[in-house]
Amino acid sequence: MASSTTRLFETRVLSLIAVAIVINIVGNQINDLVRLPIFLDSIGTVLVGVLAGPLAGGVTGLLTNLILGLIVSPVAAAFAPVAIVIGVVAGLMARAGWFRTWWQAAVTGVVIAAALTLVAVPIRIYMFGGVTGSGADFIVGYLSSVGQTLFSSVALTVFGTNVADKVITALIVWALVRQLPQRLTAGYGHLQYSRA
Amino acid sequence: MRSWSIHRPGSSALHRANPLTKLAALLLLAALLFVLPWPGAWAGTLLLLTAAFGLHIGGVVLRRYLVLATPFLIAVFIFHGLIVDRPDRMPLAAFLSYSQEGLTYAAVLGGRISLMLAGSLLFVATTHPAALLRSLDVARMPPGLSFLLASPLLLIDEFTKRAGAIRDAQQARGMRVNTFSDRLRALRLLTLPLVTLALADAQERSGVLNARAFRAFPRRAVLSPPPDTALERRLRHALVAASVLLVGCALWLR
Amino acid sequence: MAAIAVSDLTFAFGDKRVLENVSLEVRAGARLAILGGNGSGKTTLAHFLAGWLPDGRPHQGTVTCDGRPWAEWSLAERACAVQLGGQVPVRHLSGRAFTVREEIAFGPENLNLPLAEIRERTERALAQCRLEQLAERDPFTLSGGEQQRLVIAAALALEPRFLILDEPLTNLDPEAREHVLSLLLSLPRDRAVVLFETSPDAALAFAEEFVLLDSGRIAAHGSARDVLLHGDAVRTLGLPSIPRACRELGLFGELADSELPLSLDEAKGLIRGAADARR
Repeated sequence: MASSTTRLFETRVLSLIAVAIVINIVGNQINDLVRLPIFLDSIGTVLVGVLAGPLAGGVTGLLTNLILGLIVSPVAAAFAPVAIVIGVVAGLMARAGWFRTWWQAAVTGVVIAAALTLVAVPIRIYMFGGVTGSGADFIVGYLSSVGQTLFSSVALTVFGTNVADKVITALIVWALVRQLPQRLTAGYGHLQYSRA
Repeated sequence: MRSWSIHRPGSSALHRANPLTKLAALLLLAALLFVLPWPGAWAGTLLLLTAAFGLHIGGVVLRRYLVLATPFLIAVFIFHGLIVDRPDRMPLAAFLSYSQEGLTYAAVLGGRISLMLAGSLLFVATTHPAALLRSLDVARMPPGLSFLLASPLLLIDEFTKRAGAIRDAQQARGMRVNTFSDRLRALRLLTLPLVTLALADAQERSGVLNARAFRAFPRRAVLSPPPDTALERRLRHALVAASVLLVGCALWLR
Repeated sequence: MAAIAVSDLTFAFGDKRVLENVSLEVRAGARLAILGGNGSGKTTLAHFLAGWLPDGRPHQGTVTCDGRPWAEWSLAERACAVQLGGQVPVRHLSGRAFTVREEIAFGPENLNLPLAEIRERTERALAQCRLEQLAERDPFTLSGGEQQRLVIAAALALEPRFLILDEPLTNLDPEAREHVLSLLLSLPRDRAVVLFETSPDAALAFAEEFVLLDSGRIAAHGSARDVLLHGDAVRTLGLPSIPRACRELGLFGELADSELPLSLDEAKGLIRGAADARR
């Protein structure tokens, strides 16, 4: 289709990002039923990273948190950089071919958790003093009370609470991408890097 | 009314103000955090919450403030006042100790978050998302941006309904969630149909957007732009300039 | 004369052949019904007619409007030429509008039309589709029938020369079907309307020209009699209600399917003719 403006994203990617943001927000509710000790709030972000690349993945993360900031809690907006990193790293790992097999996806999950820890820790410490009012605060408190520094308490907590979540998220996205009908994924060029 | 919305219609000056002006005011509030001593931040919070009552949105704003701020405030005071090891700590019991310095630090952090939270809630409660998006279009932001903000807001309720229906259907088919591997399997059974539907939606919608000439031009006309005045535009510029100045001074004087 | 022309179109999703050697012309002002069962290729053909496909996918044959392939049309030009409505109306909402009025204005706003014209088109489409009472409602909270009328209104606001509707009646209750059908019948004659349908009755109520699509091929093309009473149509879609009633009542047992009356008037004529012949 002839286009008269230069655009960052094709419209098909734009509408993909929009539904992915909703999947992120609704993912939480699915987890209410399954009751795994994970967040399940970045399936959409990782999915977009795999289907449409790091930039689109990062934008999905950013806007998810901005919208959560608008409708749930402004605190979510403060953690938008973390969500960006999840999408960007998922996209880069997919680009490098690390989403082809299940074990590669699992490794990608660990890499995502490590990368987001780098960004989440300074935000948590400098803006929130290390705690955010969630259950994870107990772990931070425990680690501090047994002699860890604030920095390492927070870093260990963030990585520890995220690694299972991100590995499971990456595995789910890996399984999804293999099962989706070709009719629905045909337009997303970045997927070629994740085909086994 | 959508399930997530805390917007309350009204006719106050804050309701009528252009959404971009309110965003600029929020920016100034954020800049103030760099220079305001902690008692000021708490006083500001109190002021904003009181103002909310004056605008007849006090109930919803205060309730949301308490829900969001309380867990954080409790955590930050306990953690910094009673747990973190500081030079002035006085042991209390077990691993707990009392630190004046820590409590002050908690008051600083708590005040900042409280003030930002109260300001954001005032903004959200007096600004309909549609008005914010129209003002972004009028300000010649890329139409793709306002679409990405609007579309998820509009789809949340629809997808929540779908997720519920999928959950019911899978439960009716005997989905189990006893063991860990059960749960992983359940997770896949729940997400696959949701994501498949979502992608089908996305594909159809991108066709619809193209067909309706979305982004055919770099700007789009706006049928009923939110009210804006020359005075408000000047106020916005002043607010942004003041914010930059404040942050600049704070960093320079540090 | 302006027309959408499909010539020798063959298309597959992966290895699944969906359309095979389809040739067809939609002339200005046409009232065309394209009938077919599930999986006959209707939706794919609708997407080709409206320029949503091939979307860069491999295919054989061409689809042109006024002699130019859709790929050469700009978004704005195509929006003013053709609009497509689908079977699941909620998927055809822009996802950008918080009210019915905003949804209708969405297209004209994108075209950057003068505000007065956007307003005029929006109000006209609201009235045409009898949505005035719902103008401030949230599009996602409307009933299916209301949403379908909204999708048609949003399309009409772009004043397209060709309106393609893919099973707009399928998911609606009888009252909503009636509403949408009468809306289609009231559309001005300068717009061509292509109605994709599984129901011969709906097609009969609306169209003047008929096409039968069977497994991706055009099995019949012509008048209501040529198409709706064609053997393949009767086999896949059943008879329209008047000839079906005649069969069930045991009337005209001597006639072949293709000779059965299509309307009450035709049936009366045949009965009268038979009575005269007996006298």
